[in-house]
Amino acid sequence: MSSRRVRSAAALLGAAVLLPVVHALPGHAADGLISQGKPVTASSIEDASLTPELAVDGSASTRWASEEGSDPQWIQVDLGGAATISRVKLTWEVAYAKTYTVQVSPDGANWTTVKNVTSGDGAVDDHSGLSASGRYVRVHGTKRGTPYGYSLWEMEVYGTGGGDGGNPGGSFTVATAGDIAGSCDADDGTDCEHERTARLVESIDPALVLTLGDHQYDDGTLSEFRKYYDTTWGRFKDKTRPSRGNHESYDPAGEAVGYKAYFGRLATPNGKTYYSFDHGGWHFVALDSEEPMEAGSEQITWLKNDLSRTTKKCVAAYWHHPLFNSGSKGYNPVSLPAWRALYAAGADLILNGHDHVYERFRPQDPDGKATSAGPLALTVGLGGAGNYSFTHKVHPNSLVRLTKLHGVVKLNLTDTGFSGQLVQDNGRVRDTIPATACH
Amino acid sequence: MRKGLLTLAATLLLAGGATGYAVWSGGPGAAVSEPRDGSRTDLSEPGRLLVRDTATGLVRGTRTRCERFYAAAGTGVCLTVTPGAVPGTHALILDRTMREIDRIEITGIPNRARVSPSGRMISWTVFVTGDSYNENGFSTWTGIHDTRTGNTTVNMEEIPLIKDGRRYHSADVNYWGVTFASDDNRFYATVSTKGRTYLVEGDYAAWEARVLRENAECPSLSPDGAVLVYKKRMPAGAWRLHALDLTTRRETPLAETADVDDQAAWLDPRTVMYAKDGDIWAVPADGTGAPRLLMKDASSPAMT
Repeated sequence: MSSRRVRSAAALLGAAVLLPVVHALPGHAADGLISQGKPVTASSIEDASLTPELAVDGSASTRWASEEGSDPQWIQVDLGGAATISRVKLTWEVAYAKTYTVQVSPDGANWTTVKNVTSGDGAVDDHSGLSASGRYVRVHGTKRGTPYGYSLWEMEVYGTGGGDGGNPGGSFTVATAGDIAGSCDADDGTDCEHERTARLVESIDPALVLTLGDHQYDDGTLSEFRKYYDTTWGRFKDKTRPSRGNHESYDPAGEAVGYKAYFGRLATPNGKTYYSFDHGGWHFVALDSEEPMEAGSEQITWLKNDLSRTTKKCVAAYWHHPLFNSGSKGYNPVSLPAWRALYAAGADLILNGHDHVYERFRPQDPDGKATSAGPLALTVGLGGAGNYSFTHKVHPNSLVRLTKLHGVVKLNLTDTGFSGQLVQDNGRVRDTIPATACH
Repeated sequence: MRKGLLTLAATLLLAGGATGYAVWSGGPGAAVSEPRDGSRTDLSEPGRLLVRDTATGLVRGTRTRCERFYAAAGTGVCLTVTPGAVPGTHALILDRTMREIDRIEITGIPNRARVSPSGRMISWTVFVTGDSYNENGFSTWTGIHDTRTGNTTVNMEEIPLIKDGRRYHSADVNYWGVTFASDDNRFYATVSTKGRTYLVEGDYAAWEARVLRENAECPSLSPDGAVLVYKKRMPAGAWRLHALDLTTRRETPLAETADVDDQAAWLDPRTVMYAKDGDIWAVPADGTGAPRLLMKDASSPAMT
């Protein structure tokens, strides 16, 4: 408690002192600020309000912070293309790095150290006179100056080249969860689970919200949708790309009648409850595991054709029923043909709901053999419905299993890969999905 | 606490492996197998009739205690309930020497257990309470475990179901009593929904089930895969064993006229066996003959 109060005071002080500095001119007339607003990723965040974008947003009053008490941590910015780098300026919050390196890379994988700091003292570290080249710049902290994490008000890279500003097809953020609305609404405030997760989504302010089925319990009728879901997750319906769950099939008015009526064209952009779309460097596929999804079915045939047509490097697919699952329901073969098609096409990410738990798997093939050629799968059934437990047996490729919480996964997607966090509805980061390159 | 006891049992088993038997009298329900070298039971030996002793709960001739037991082709399944404040229920997968090679935690009261003729596919049914959409006062969870892939479907109720030629959706579907064919893919089971029960034929690889007919529970497929024996609810409420020829679709009542609540097993290619009044009985599967007492004070019969 007390450390938090001290820290806030320091933050205010820092902001006041630093404001003029941010607007100082760079060292060389020809060298401009080439990092602002560019795609940025970090090894972790302290909470959902301290994301890495805030270190390159040009604002000295917002900041990125890594999780507390953990070494090493990093933050990296993608300049959008090859660049010549002359200066890197770091404006530390009270949580500074004592030992860290500044590194550059042409590809985000192979790094060259251009500055090695072993006795950092926080405040502003202005590394000028550099002559480095690369597309990516990373600050890699190995020893913290405080018990906190690492936190930067701003990370500024100066030089020439890089992307042309703006953010065409670059980094963006996606929020995802399934199994969402019970019988409470926004007026119930934080007593209502799906109001809490809706507020979390709003704080993340993602470009897209991918819903993983079972939006509305128990039967997904239109009146239930209007009464409950619409008051919470409905607030960002226009950027929601839904997929259907089993509870959407129980509508007495007919299968998925309420779901289709509520989401309209969003649920069936081409007349089917499965569809695909592109955003940035990513191709997204929403499947419907309540519709026939066996090998040779219309849906799987469509999926194979769709995947063969995409020119995007990165592919994510999402639907309700997970194939692999250490949760209460276990293995569900209904998803095997989709996995086979996605694996064959080199898909990168598979998102499912249904079991009201969180589970992260090692990349694997459809037969459950761990391989980096396979997609990374997440089960995120945490949108608001009552949690289930992990029983039966832990899948050999299961890396993280969490329950007794509600939250959403925040994904940071770039042209070349992804990373993410499971963020609980209290803002706490419960799992960090490591930076993974697309196939 | 429970975990501690299980660990202790495992340690004793390991320690006893070299010298012979390791016996753990940890209480009723705990499953302890003889080490490999001390076993007199070989589940891969053909023509051996295994039963569960009603008084002790042990599979006769072994030290394995089960609520339900079945075996085929060198693989056994044993449903156990571990006592304690929070009872734990497990499906234990046993090798041919009755040694546990895998265990799956399940929740509920053991009801049915089966192994496919090849020994690859394991299935079981437990009764559970507290499910939503629970109209009959109980629900069943039926699991399928593939010993080759290690994949476990804890509750098969989400298998796409085709009824009257259409995909059927209902929150209240319950399955029980699975029986696999020798190809480890085709299977039969009972599904209930909206107060009615149906016999379904399933395809594991395609993961789909189709309704074949109404009122046929706990099917058991003959060794040649041509005949199903199941219990059929009679107008007065009792279950009576019937046989269905899968080719001609002709249904024949068996000579057993008593109420039978069991998933029959095949004693030989022409005879089924089943628990009745605490004993195991046998009757021809073609409607001829008469029931005969096979084994006193026993249940869960399995012919290896």
